[in-house]
Amino acid sequence: MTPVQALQKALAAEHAAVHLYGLLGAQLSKSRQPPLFAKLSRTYEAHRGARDQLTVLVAAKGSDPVAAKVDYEVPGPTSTATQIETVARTIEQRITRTYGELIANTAGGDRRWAITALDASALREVAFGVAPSHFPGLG
Amino acid sequence: MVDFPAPAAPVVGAVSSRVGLSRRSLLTAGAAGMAGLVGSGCTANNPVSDDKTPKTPAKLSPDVAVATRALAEIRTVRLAVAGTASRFPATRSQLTPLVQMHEAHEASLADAVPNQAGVPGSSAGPTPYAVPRTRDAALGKLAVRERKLHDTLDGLALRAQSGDFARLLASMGAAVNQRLAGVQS
Repeated sequence: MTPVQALQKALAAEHAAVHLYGLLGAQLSKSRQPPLFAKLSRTYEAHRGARDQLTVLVAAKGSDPVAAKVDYEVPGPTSTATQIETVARTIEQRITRTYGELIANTAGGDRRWAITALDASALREVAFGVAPSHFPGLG
Repeated sequence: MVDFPAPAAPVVGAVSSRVGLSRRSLLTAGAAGMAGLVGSGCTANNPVSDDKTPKTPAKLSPDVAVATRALAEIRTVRLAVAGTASRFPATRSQLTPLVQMHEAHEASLADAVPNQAGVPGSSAGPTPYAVPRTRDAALGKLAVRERKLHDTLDGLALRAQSGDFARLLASMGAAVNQRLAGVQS
């Protein structure tokens, strides 16, 4: 995988995360579940920021950033707050693994960015209830 | 409707096209690959090097140097955690997961580091760690040590020439970060 391919893959994953967190937020009541709603809102903003930064990184290499899809398959039911957190955990674990790949396939400034992104997604995993791992992003 | 883009299997050397590689296989391949560098004088991810000059065994590849530094830092912090848990037994349940994490990280690096010279706890004996007198101060000092270890591992991940080794080191740093978040919350 070339560095650009790895960046495009990470960008595609962030497009998906932005879409899915928007959907998860829409499933929740801000007044009835304020802590979870706030957490989802912060996470949504984080992924939107990462998506925008990845778009810049890809474009800086002379490539056209991959576009978002129209829709994404939700990795699980979202009828309850517990189910929503489960889906969020799945999203974050996938994102963490994607950033692991990005680290492996980049160097320099791109890798530095990916390391920071991996750190952030590994922390979000824990915030959504994933047990800390000895090797986040590898498994 | 499309699936969330699934991460591919970790890329490990010549088997990058294989799918379904487990974390264990990545670690094993990483450690074996690193161990293979020891004394060979090869540079990771540099298969086209035409330098035929014999290398002296003392000249380690850059990634072996990175692994040596990482192992030394991890061991130093693990000994600090163990010392703190020993001084304040009530913290053991809180600190045992940290010790286990550091042990797992050490195990993934141990084969890559030749004779482990200069690594605490190897030959000359570990440098004593001064545990502060109060529990809060001791945990605070540990948190600083863990934070520094996280930063060091991230820095080493940036320096590593092998992409897979960089991924391993960054994962270790992220693991430290996850544990820190638990300790501080």
